[in-house]
Amino acid sequence: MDLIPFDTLVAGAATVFQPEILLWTLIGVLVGFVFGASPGLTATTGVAIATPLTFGAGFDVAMALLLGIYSAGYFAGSIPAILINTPGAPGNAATALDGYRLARAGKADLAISLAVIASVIGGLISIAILMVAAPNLAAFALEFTSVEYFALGLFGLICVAAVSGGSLVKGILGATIGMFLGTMGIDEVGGMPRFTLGLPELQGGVPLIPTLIAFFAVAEMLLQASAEQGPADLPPQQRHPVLRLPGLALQHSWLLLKSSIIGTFIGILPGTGPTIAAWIAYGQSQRREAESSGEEYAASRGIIAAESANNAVTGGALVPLLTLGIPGDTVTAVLIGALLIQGIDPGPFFIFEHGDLFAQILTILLVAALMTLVLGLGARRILPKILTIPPRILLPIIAVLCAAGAFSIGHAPFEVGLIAVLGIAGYCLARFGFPMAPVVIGLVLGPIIEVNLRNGLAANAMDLSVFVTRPISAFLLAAILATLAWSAWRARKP
Amino acid sequence: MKADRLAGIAGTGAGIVLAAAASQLETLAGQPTLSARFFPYLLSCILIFGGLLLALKPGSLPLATVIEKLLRRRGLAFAAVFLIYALTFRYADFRLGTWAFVLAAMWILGSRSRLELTLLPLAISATTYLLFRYGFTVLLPVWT
Repeated sequence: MDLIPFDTLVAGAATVFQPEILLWTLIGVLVGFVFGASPGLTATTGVAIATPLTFGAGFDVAMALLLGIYSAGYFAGSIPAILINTPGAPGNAATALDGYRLARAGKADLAISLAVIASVIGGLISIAILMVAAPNLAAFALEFTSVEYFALGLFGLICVAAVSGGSLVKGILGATIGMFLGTMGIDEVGGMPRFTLGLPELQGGVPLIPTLIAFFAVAEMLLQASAEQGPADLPPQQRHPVLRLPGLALQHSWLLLKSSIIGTFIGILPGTGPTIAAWIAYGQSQRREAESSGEEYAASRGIIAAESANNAVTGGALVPLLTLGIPGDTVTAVLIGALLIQGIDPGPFFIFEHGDLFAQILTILLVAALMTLVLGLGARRILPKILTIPPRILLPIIAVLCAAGAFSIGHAPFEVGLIAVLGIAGYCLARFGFPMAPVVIGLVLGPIIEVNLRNGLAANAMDLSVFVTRPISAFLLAAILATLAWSAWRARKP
Repeated sequence: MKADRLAGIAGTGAGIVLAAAASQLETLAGQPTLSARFFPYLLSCILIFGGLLLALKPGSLPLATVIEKLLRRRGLAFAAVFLIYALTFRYADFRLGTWAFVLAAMWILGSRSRLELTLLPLAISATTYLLFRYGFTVLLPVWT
């Protein structure tokens, strides 16, 4: 942290403790609870819908709202996972295994309490790692040229295509669709228009935030609208005293730390996200001796591992965003749009030029985690009521917010039509089993990959060997090959 | 037929169309780097070969299942109403358009309570308008 003046950090952090910012963080946390706990809706959907609303707001208000949703939304997905065996988001799928097992045994209260504690501790550990790692990585990234950025962008894209669920081919095709959308508009290198379909609105390219709303919110909303689902069946719960939770956390402290570090590290890898983090942490939590210690003990380990890793991704995923301008997961892909609205181009200079804003981000994450703890534990018997909001009321509200939000970015009705058209396209892709994450990450990373490939070659007299002779680029390209080989091997396994 | 087979054929077709469109792109002569056509050509190759791979080695999901889900009346009707709402957004008064959309959407999604259908569309329309107008200072389209 000595890379940033201490007084800059203190001044930045202090601004968060104004009543207005605290209120927006609280609103963000509450919205995050609603989006996270509603099956099918995710923190990404919430952040995508809320981002356009920050257009007229300052940086601190915008980050308070969005990071509140981010932080609370990742936890809240565990509520439907535990109560009705339906993960609020893919990152909570591992929690459903043991959480639902406890709920069926009448211990849903304990399961939700453990999820809150694990999520908050995971989040706090990842904030600490973000605080230490980000400035150092940013300093390291100052040495990066177009060659490294090309390799890093490609690495992120391959990672998300490989781990986002479904087949690798579908992941790559999804990413290609996203990259194609990224090529529309004026070519950044040559200055000539590409695929603008004669529409002046597309000269500046496909707008990022409406596209994110389309693929994450509208497509998801249409999936929910066509789903045949009845009202949630809530199991009866036994009460579990909150005072016993610190003891439980201490009992599993090593597991908490280990899983949080796994989650943070997976989050740092560009393009990955909470799903893989939660499953890896869950996998390493499964021990035979744990099973022999009783069902409750073993299930508690599973919930703690999955949820701490899931929420630790939040801080980890911000590391590549704030140091390299490359999203760590889907929410940070949306946050790029939010930063651009604020006139901030995320990259290696961000932390050094805006140390105070970096401190604000850290402090807001900390405050949001503490609010999640208090509200999550305090309202753990009320939160399940979110599951009872019927889709016939929730979906029209989301649709209206999507449309009004898309309009509010540039007062452009074109963008409202765009979210409907792209959302329906995304819905069709989802029905055919194409994951949405690669499409969106492809849209974000496509231009980065193309521009840096072309600039890298221009700077090196069209010498392709530069991509393998520079060590970081060579390492990343080798990692890409290894990821592809691992995915192909995994696909062949019966 | 498997769903992936159709998706693969569509992907290959899209790749061919993209390659044809890329060949029509204007480029600057004498650029010291790859032309503006290079990346779209690369993407079209990925679409063509990826699509072929998917068509030749499809997953187990049957096309009939996907079509059945895509053609579910409720989903189709909701998508159609949302599309109309979005495409007429610029012409309609937000308060009126939103009221009509929410009413139709709630009906499609199964709401039959008169009280619910009377109050909620009004409340959602008014609350959203006021939230954007005074909370986020965004002027939504209105007939003045």
